[in-house]
Amino acid sequence: MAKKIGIIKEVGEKINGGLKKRRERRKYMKRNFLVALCLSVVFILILSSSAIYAQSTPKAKEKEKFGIAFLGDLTGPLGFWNAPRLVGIQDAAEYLNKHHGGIANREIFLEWADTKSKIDIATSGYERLKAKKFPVWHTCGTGEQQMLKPRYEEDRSQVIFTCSTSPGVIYPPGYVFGTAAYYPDEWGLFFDWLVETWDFKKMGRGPKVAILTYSSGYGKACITDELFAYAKKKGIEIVDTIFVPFVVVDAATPLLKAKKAGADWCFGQWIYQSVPPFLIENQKLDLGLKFAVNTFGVDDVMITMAKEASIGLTGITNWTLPWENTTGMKIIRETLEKKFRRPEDRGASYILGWMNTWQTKMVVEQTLKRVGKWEKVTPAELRKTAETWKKVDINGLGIMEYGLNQRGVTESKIVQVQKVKVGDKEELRWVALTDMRKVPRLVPPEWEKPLPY
Amino acid sequence: MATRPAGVYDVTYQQDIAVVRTLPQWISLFIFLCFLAVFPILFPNRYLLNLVNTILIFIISAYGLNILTGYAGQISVGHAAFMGVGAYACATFMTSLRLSFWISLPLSGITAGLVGILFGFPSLRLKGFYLAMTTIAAQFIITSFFLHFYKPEVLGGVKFLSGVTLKPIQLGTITFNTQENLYYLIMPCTVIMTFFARNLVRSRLGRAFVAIRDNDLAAEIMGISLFHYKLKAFFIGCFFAGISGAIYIAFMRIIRPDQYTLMDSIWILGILIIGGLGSHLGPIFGVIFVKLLDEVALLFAPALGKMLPAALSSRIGASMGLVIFGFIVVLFLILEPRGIAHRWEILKGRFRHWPFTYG
Repeated sequence: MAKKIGIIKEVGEKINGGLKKRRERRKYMKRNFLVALCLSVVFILILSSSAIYAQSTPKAKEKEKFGIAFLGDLTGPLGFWNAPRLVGIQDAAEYLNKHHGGIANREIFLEWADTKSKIDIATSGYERLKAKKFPVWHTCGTGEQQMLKPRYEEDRSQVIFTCSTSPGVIYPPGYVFGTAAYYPDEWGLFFDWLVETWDFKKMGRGPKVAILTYSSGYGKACITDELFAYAKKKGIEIVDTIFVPFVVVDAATPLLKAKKAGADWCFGQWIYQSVPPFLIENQKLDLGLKFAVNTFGVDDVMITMAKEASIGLTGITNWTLPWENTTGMKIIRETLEKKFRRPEDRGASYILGWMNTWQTKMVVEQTLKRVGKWEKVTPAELRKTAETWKKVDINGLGIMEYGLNQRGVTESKIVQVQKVKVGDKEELRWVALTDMRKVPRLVPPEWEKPLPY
Repeated sequence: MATRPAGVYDVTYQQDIAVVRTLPQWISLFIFLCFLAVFPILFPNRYLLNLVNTILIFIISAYGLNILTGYAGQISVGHAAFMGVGAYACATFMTSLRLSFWISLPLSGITAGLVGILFGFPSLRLKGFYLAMTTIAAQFIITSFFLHFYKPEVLGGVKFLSGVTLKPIQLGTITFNTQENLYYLIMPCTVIMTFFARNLVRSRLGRAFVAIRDNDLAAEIMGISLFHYKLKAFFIGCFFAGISGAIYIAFMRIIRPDQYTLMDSIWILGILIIGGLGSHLGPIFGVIFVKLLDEVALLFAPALGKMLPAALSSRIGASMGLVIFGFIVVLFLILEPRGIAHRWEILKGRFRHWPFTYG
């Protein structure tokens, strides 16, 4: 009996012990939760206080500064493109502050908001930056820009230099200015060149092209009625439209599809990350397809990634080529070396960051000169200044031209990756095939009328 | 887990199912609704109102998924696409058929609901991960449809793309073109949809959903038609998504297919898990928590960037926002897997039973 009682007691103690342990564990978990919560709160408080500290500079100093806002995808699908651009703006601001007294003797500083290529985050970022009243913004991302365009034009609270020259972003003409030709215009120029160089006699037909592009707003920016009509007029047949992702896993299928459709050329709205797999696969499968990219594909990173396979890659650009010895390019090359920038950061988006910052300096200083007072340097006045730009050289980085109903440049050139001899060595680089030429204007007529100031 | 205030007893069935039970609760509700009504006057900040409007729109969508997944147990990983159906339907009704927004709004909800039924058919044979796979397929089919087959001409051609021609919504002399005015369009819609969602789960329909979720075989034996109720769950869940998508059109005045990605669908599900799947406050808590956390993380990222050298600020500074966001979400899920709503119930219980520890 005593033995049985002993066993029961033992079992009871075990159960009690177990319960106790469980209770303790729960208590421990609760404590853990509270500790973690407190830590998170402390972490957020530290961050917020540092943010407030960073933003709260004395008033006298604030007056001497000039803020540039940047709104673009930094951690989403286009982060790889925009992060170097932000580095470029920062390097340019640092250089201008050090050597040119910033903008009209005001020190340049940068504020940015990440859009993650998501509309809700982009609108929130827009509102946050707008509240700070920066007169000049640099932006990126067709999707977000198209969504935000109604707000930009209703608010009229900033002049924007955007990398996206897509339909619905720079046109109808308002407060948004591009840094290249309107995308369909660029492709119109490419079609001109293609027909010009096409051997109709030998081929017995016109060129056949396939559109290989992203399914995003940027990718689809070349698919417009006007461009298709222009291709038809030029005797070019667009045989297929194939959508490809930003990160290419299977390059063979779209290429084989394009080949099956009878394409001679594949063109699309691309940036450097996606094209090299296609170039390499095209070479590997010996498909003989030729490729063309828009301004933002004319990038040295493309050559770094695709190497020999990039030979023959054609592009349209109004920018100075990275190896050219202009003032602006020399400064960029020196900065890249001095700061040990990574190869991925040495591409077109980095150059664009510099170009936009120079543009900002020029437009603000010209406006200030015209209106006389800083208080009068309003977004409307900045827009008016930019609209007077006729073939303005942006410190040797590219030629910009705007007008009352013009938001993209009117001239561009055709360039191609070729193996050239530089001194004793052979090197792959972008080479100009044509001079600067007038691009055809493929802007829909209803977008010609400028939006109100 | 529901606790009643001390001394409050349910003596009738009506009392048992009542949402608002006591006078203090009625007063609290009244004060809360008054607060919502005067919110733009108290906080006339455009940035804040933009954020609140976004949160309110996503609450409607999250309620839809809560009914479908939280109550009826039908996993959907294509909810954002159904929002897209509502948005595209609303845009089509308004531009091609020239209907007013007020007629287009319910019609968009119904359209999304009907499309939801179409993709809900596999739920009769599939459960769990298998059903999730079919809803992922729905996500891709629907967004591809927007992308490839939806001619821009239907929406007024290129003009529509610019967002310029889609005029702000009007009601009499009121134009919903500012964040303040939009708030008064979105907030009542959210309150009404929340009211519907709350009532639905107390009804026969809601109880049937819960029965199906807990044990579909037992539910069928009890006389609940799985065929009808599962499809009803899909219809209602997607109806909510459609309404939220249509309101988003009024908010942004433009539409794009890449607004409704798989990632967004996954995040709506994530919002529910964080808020509390199958609880009436879960969607509200989840959306507020995730959106605010997202906002806070993005707000701090540039500040962190400023503290770093210029070369690192754009890369590490920007990524820090994501790191903070991910870290807090993971921490939360480990320590409170039943969601914020559960923590809220515990807090309420403690408050009601104080100074006693049980409850």
